[in-house]
Formats: sequence, structure tokens, C-alpha cells
Amino acid sequence: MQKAAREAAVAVTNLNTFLVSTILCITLLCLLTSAPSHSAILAEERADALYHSYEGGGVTVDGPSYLIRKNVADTFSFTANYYVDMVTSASIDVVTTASAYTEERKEYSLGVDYLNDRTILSLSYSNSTESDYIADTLALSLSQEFFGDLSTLTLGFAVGDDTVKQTGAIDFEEKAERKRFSVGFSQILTKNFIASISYESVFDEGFLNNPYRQVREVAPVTGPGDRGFDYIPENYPDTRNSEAIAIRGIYAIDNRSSLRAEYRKYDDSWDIDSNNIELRYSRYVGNRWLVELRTRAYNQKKGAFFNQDLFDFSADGTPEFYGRDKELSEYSAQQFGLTLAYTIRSRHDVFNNSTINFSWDRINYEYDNFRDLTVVTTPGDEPLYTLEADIIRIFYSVYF
Amino acid sequence: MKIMLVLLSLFIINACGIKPIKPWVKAHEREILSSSIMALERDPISTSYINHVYESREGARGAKGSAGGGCGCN
Repeated sequence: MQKAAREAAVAVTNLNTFLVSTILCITLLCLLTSAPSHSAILAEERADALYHSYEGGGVTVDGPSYLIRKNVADTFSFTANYYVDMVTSASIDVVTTASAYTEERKEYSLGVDYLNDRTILSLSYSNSTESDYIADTLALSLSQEFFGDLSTLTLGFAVGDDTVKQTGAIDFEEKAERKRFSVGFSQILTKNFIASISYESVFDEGFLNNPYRQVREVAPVTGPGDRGFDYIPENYPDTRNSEAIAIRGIYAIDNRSSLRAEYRKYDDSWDIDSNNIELRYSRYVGNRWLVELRTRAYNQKKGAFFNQDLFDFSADGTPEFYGRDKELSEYSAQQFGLTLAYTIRSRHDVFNNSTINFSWDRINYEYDNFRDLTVVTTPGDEPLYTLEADIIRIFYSVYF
Repeated sequence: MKIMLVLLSLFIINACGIKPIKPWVKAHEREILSSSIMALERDPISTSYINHVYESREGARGAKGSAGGGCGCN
């Protein structure tokens, strides 16, 4: 089954590669031979310094992120990003099977955009390093404007190479490869309405487990300390192929406020099926304040091998794959958020305006078949797990 | 995927210059569209971070723009 699944997934990714490559070539040929009308523009030059914080479910992740974009000769635009996650984790997974830990992840990204008339060609590279996980990603995208700049088509391809290690297991080292194919199209429909549609297919191959996570298996109670189950390592397929399609629209209610809506549908070869919807309302208040209110709902059906939170291999047989990752379970999440942005007018020629931004989001996760094992009771009767997370982003942006 | 291919084909045909379509929203009518409140994503550094949060804690991925690498899932 593993081999057949791998061959099927490889066939799908080869088809995606062929289709995206063909589209890229045809588009490039057409663009080179078509008469230009207007020219696209590079993204605005800016520098950002951000502090981020995620706190919920016994996990705290915070750190800085710095981003700078500088254009050269109206043709090239260079970006550099440095990002840090400082993790202190006593999550439900950690406290039930291991010990709390601290970890640091650093990510460096470099990118360049090349503008030629109505076409922007982008190339970027990123490296993410933590003590037990290294990820390298190379991405290429092509963006093209049509119809007097009313329409923009974007094609993207990225390839990732991950190295998975395990703390405390010196000899453990596994590899995972990732390919991402994306197509996006945005359209100015009226003078106050923009819509877009985007599609992305992701193909993973390699070691896709988390080496620390474990499933519960029914075990006989032989002593006063036994809880009636044992932990054994998860076993995942070594391929995963996913597709996501999203539509977005933003409408200007008047010249000081807008409403943005988004819907995304997702499914993959692990039978995870999800959708999410998001609404954002933005409004200028006075001359310097911008306020955004948002809400988002996410619903997910469980993966095929997250059968239940308690396996009984002796009674049911050992399945080919089994996992207990709560991100594979059936659950829903509701989010509410607020952003306040204050504009500082520039009084000199060195910089243009700058903004100070504060964002807060609360996400409530409610799991439908992942249980809270910190409660000791009959195995399988533990309450369903829930968690609340607070996410804070504070950043300063300056425009050149 | 098929829907996207049909849409792409239509616009590739147009890009090849079979018959140019005149823009129905003129440049001088785009003042509101160029405003910050009409950006699908205003701040890349902030968007990239929240997408990483979603991708680390949800089964779904993709069609959201870029997200950082690494696991960050515990």
C-alpha cells in the first residue's frame, strides 16, 4: 500500500510539475511576443521590526522578526528577513509523554524581484535551523499583469529539503522533501472591489513523522501505577499530497472603510479535509489611525490514520499507519482579532511615513476526538481537549 | 485544478494579444484601490508570521502565501 500510495503521489506531482511548467513556458512565450501597455511596479521599499508572541496550551513562542526591502534602479528589489522563534513548551503532548523543554529556531530569508515591463520574476531562499530540524527552501515565482493592470496572474514553484533529527538520539537523522506548486489570479472588478483566487498543491516525501509524538495502545493493568495503556511511536506514510484552493475579495464600503472576505477549501492524501472562512473590517479613524477587526473559523475532519485516541492493536490488529497528532484530529477553531495602526508623518527627506502597529488575536481550539490525558480516569473516557491561545504582534514599519 | 487551468488558458490566450480588452477601471479611478485598507495583505512581515502560526497548528496548508519552514508544532 505504501509503495502504491507513493507511486500515485509521485504521478500526481509529476503531472502538476508538467502542467505548471507548460503554463509557465507558454505564458513567457506569449509575454515576450505581446505588445506592452503599462508597466508593473515593484513593491514599496520598507523596513519592519516585529515582536511576536504565541501563548496557549502550555506553549509560549515569541521572538523578533526583521524585514527590509530595498529597490535598485527601478528594476530589482531585494529583501532580507531574519526571524526567531523562542519556544518554551509544556504542551499537552510534552507533559504527558516527556519533559518540558526550551528551543530556539532561527530563519534567514533572502529574495530578489526582477521587474521587466509588466512581469515580475522572483527568486527566494530561506534556511530554518533548530537543534533537531533544518529546513532549506528555494522558491521561484512569476507575476504578470494584464488588461491595463486590472488582472495579475502569479505562478509559483518551491522546493524544500528538510533534515529531521531527534534530541538525545545522536544517530537519528531522516530526510524529507517538499514541492509546492501555486497559481494565483487577482482581478480588479470595479473601482471599489478586488477579487482573487489561488490554488496550491504540496507534495511531501520522506520522514513525515514527528519523532517525539506517540500513540496510546491499550495495555493490561498489572500494578497500581499502570493506567491501562502504553505509549508507542507514531507511524506515518512517507508521502503526502495536498491541494488547497482559496477565494478572496475586498470591497471598499466608502473611501475610509473596507470589508475583506476569504474562503479556503483543503484536502489531502491523508484524508484530512478542512475549510476556513475569514472576515476583516478595516477603517481609518481620524487622519492617523487605522483599525481592523477580524474573525476566522476553521473546521477540520480527521486524518485516515487518526482512528481514535486509544488504539487496541491486540483486538483490532495493528494498522499500517497510526498517529495521535492533534493536528490530524477532528477539531474546530474560532478566532477573533484586532489591529491598531498609527501613522507617524515624516518631517524630513530621509524616510517617508512610518507606522506603529499592534495586533491581538484569540484562538479557541475545540478537539472532537483528541483527549486531555492530564486527567486520570478510565482510558478513553478522558475529557476532550480544548485550548485558548493569545497571539500578539507589535511592529514598527518605516517606508523609504 | 481543472478550473484553474481553464482560467489560465483564457488569460494566456488574451495575453497572446488575440484581442486586447480595454481596462474598464481607469487609472484615475483607482484612488481607493491604492489605499491601505484595500490591500489584501498590508504587512508582509505580519502576514508571514500569522500564516506560520496557522500552518504549524492546522492540518491544512497552502493557498495562503509563504510560511516559514521548520516544525514549530509542539
